[in-house]
Amino acid sequence: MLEVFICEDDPEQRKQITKYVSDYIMMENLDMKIVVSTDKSEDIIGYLRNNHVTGLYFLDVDIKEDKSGIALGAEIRQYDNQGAIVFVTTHSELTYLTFTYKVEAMDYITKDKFTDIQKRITDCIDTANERYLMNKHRNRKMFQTKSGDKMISVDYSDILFFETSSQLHKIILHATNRQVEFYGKLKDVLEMDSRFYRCHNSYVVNKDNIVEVDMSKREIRMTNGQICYASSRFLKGLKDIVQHTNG
Amino acid sequence: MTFFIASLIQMMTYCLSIPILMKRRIGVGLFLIMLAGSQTIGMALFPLMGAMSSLVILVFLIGCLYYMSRQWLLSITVAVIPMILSIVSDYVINLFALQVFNLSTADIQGGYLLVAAVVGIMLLTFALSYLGRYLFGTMRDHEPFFRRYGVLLTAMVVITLLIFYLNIWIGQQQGYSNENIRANSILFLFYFILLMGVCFILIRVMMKETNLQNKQVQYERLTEYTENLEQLYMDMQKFRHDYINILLTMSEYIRSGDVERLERYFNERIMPISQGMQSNNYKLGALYNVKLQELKGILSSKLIKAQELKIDAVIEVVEPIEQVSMDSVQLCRCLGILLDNAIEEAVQCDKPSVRVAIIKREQSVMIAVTNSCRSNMPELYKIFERGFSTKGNNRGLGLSNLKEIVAKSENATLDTQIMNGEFIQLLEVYDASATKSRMTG
Repeated sequence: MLEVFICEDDPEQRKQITKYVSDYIMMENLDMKIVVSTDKSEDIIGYLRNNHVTGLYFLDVDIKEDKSGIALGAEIRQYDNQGAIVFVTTHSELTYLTFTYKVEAMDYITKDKFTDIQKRITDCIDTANERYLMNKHRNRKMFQTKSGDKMISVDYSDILFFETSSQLHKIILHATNRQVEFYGKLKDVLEMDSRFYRCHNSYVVNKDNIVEVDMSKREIRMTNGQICYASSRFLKGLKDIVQHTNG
Repeated sequence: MTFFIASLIQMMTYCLSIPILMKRRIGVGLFLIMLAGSQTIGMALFPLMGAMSSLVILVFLIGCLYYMSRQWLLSITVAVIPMILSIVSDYVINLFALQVFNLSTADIQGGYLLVAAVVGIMLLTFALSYLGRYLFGTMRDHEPFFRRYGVLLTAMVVITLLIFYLNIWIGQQQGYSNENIRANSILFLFYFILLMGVCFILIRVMMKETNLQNKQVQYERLTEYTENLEQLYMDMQKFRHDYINILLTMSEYIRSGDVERLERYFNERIMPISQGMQSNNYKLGALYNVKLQELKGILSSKLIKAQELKIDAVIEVVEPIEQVSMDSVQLCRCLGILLDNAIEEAVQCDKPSVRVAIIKREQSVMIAVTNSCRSNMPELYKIFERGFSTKGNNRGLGLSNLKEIVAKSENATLDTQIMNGEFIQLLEVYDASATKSRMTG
């Protein structure tokens, strides 16, 4: 079950948000429950300390405490790294990226007269629910790795190949529309999925996204036209794979 | 047999000094090719040409290095320096043998003495290589410097080598007399020390100049920022001046109960002011939290430039940023590239926007730069290719340079993605203290 938390210090607005959420849960008959609706961040942290949950959090950015809503979000992350955090704020303009990358917030809702808050809240509930269900029935469509504070997840079908960087222990993941570096070992990456093939000392390729292999140049052309390199030692195995998938 | 071993050790000296100097691994394969090739050439040509065979080996090594690095100047310099170093070491060892053990060159032509001498040369060469790497490394960190003086440097080392070999050749004609060796040794040593001295001073001067230039640029940027702040202050002054009047007028309307005119007055006079408050100048307010002057300078100058190009440019810095664990020159270069790139792309869109955030995370500082991009963006990997640019030739060094800088630094990672019509670049710099723990994360 996805548990919903609300932290908002304006009693009027808190009542409003709580009502929107509970109405929607009832109407759609969702597997969710509001467990905490409060104006004190300590209530949420206290609950998280005692219970292991995956939550959906609606947090006001300007709670009247020492710590801001963003700091609260960061604290929540320590207990619940899967949960969905949604910020409710008056000054979205100036903190959008911070929400996204500081606590990996799912979304934010602006409190102004132009925004249909109810609609935005129900949207957030839907998204969080979808994500929760997908995670629960883990069909492992995402490649996930942790690098420092950062969780990197990429669709397996988007991954082209991995390459070692000139810096030790650093790996560059090449995907369609994304290039990301993380710390790790190529050997560990190789073991994560059967689609991966070691084609070179410093490359691991996703077999599903190979278009063709140029045996003489030892180059592998990927679906987006990018070139990955192979070494003669691993070329033979590659040949078998490509023929197998073509045949 | 002794000759074979001695020769092999000497070739090893060359081949191992090269990676030491270049400060990077060259791969076992290339190393073996270089070793085997130079050994073959040495064995074949030494009986015919004597010491001159080294020049042929040199050409071969330059070829190998060019194959690897695709940079002529670098390959020549890096191949020539070990030769010079080993000649100097050779003569130093010879001189040492002559003075201390009273062994003439003829005595150490064979047997274990030759091997011992060659090993000595090797060790001395390595030591000198490390010294050279220090000098060379400082130079390569200042890339503009290397670009400007690379040719000069290469010419200098090549000429040095030629002079050395000319002397050796003369010595060879005269049959390597002890006097000759001694004279040559002193000459070479002196020349070498002089050369090192000149290089060292040159580097110091250059570094000072670059620093000065950086400071100048920074100063200009900060001036720009100050002007921006002054403008902001003037706006505030104007508003302060106005607002007493505004309040008076409003209280007048309220007193007379004229709600209709109050409303009109509010909509026509006060709303525009509040919109003005959201104008561009105010969007840079968050720069206040950036406590690093260099960073503040480059951010403000680029963002002001973006605003002048009618781009909606916003910066968010929620917490004070006091420290980023990266050399500030490199960091500013990275940021400059990121922002230039974002601005260049954003200008071409219908709704141009650039958004920058500096975010403190648990073990790192993340710099996020996003910009609107055209729907027909080229494939990501093409953007990173050297020489690629959306604006024609000779401009595409940006992102490939960025990637290079990040690749060299051991505690920074780059994440680039195109998502929902936005180009997103995340540069994450890990704190020095977190460098160890991040591996286990």
